[in-house]
Amino acid sequence: MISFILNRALQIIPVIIGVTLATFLLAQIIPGDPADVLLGSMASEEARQQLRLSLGLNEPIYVQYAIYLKNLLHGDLGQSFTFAQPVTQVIVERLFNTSLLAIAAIILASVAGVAAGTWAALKPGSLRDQGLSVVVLFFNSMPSFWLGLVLILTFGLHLRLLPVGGMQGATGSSGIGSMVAHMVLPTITLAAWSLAVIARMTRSAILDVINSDYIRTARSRGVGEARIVLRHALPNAMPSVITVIGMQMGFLLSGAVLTETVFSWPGIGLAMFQAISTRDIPLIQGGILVLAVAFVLINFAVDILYAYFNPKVKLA
Amino acid sequence: MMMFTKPHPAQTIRSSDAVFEVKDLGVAYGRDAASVQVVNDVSLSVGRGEALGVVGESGCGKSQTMLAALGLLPRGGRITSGQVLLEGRNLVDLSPREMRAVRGSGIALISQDALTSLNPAMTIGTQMAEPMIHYGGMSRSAARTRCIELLDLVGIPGAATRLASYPHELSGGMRQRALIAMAISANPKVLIADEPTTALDVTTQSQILRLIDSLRKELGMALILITHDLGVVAGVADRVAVLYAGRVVETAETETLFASPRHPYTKALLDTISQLEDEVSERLNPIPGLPPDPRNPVQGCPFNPRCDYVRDVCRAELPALADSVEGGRHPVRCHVDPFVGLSLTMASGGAR
Repeated sequence: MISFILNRALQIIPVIIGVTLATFLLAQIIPGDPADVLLGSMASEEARQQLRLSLGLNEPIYVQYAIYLKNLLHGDLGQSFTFAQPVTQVIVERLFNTSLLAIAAIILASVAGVAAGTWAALKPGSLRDQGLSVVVLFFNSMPSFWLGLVLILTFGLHLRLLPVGGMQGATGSSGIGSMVAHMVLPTITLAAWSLAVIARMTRSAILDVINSDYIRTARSRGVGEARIVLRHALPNAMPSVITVIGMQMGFLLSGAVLTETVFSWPGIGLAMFQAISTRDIPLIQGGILVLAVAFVLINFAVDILYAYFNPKVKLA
Repeated sequence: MMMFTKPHPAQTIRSSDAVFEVKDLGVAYGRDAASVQVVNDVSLSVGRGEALGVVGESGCGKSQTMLAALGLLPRGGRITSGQVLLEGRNLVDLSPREMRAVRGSGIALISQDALTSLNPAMTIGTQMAEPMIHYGGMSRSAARTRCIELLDLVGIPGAATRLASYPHELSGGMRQRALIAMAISANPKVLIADEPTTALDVTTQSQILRLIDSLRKELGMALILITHDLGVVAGVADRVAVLYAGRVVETAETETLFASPRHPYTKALLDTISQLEDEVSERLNPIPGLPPDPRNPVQGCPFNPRCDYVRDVCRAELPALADSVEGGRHPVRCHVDPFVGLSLTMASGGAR
């Protein structure tokens, strides 16, 4: 198992180097002089030259990349002019809020998705199975910002049950209860798409294994249906479900951009949205880098979980 | 003691002695007009400690009969008629809950491919002990002791360490032994072995057969051995039922069946094994043609398109399962019955 983990860990390194290259090139591809953007069009030529020198913009591109990597290793992602703060600080402050939302959403999507998929798989072709298919299609076809707006209108404005924005964070003055209340609607919005995908995958994975010989063996020994599903079918269906859950976690991070914007959730997604609107290149770069690295690390964790559920994977 | 002596064959046919009986069983898939009958009027019985061989080609209804008896027909399958009696109790009428209690302790099953029949994500010990702990009320340590005992009994060396193994870590023969140990773990009255040796190499096959046979004698179980191979049946079964196209076509004591088969299908099956045993170089003599598709049942006797002795009556009428010669001990479902008294010339008009 340890060599399996090390092996997978080594495979991560080239991917991360690729990610840094992509974010670095992003700034190069975008037209316009960064000095213009930073100083505005009214700045003097002298000031521009000064800034170019200090940012190393007159160096050849590979030297600029080396400087970028060096700064990266020191935790320096540049300066965000929208927030007038170092990018690292902007991201670190918001990382907790985004993780909180993403983790709550993936837990909701996984638990509800696996349960719904299993429930539907027990009676394929039944009314409840067809009902689930309709819900899955609905969740998969509507954009998350639309669902977010509908939830805000229904639960926030009409029923006045839940707050629709203005989250202060866990450290805010309003405390944990308020934070949880603020989380409900964004979590549902963010989870809906993944929940549908996970439910569909679970349903088909269980249908694949429920007619296996080993299920028949267990039944022939008098094992009841509840245990058949929970202890025999589900663990054998898990590897494919976990793969999908892992992919969904990556999508949740990017889905957070829209959801956080709709609910004014103070996370990386909202910051990214603002950065994109104001062409705050360093913040966009930093945000993409952090999300991409998170995506890679999540996949790494999924591979390890996969090996745990399927003892045969470790041999490979 | 009863379990160590072979019951007198004549007694075992009487239903009062039967521990397990299938009476006029019918199994169909689908509903109404689209319904396909895969098992028709199958009656079988097996006495305490007795071994019954059930023989036939793939698709003749052997496994469907047994799955119906266990209440484990796949989705879409249903029992259309008949009874399944375990010690006189009709299992067809039981609720799913009552039926669950019968499985394992009343009737147990050994499937053909041990690799796919064992849960790949569970250790041998966990899956063995599961029914004992959760349905038999045993403590974990008692179940563990019992598992070791069972693995010893089926001849798995180092039983205690094997409990922590996953199925893919065992050899094919060991897996089949583990599956057998699981099947007998609740002391079933009837053990159904569905092609238990098909997935194994020849030397392991005979070991597994001998193991099943000795367990039957030791534990006094009735054994139903399902196979397509009469050679497998020869050494183990007291009696044999031959199935064709979802019907019993001949039943007899094993020696009688081998010495004087009365159904042309049985004769053809016997020809296939004698060929294999006698001369390897000689061309194999398979039965020409295929069993009928249950979606398009054959008019008359279902074997008539493949039969060497076919007559007009065979194409018109389904023969009854009857014994006109041996007083009920050797019933056969054939109009021609060519191997008793009739010469081949009289059965002319044959297809060949």
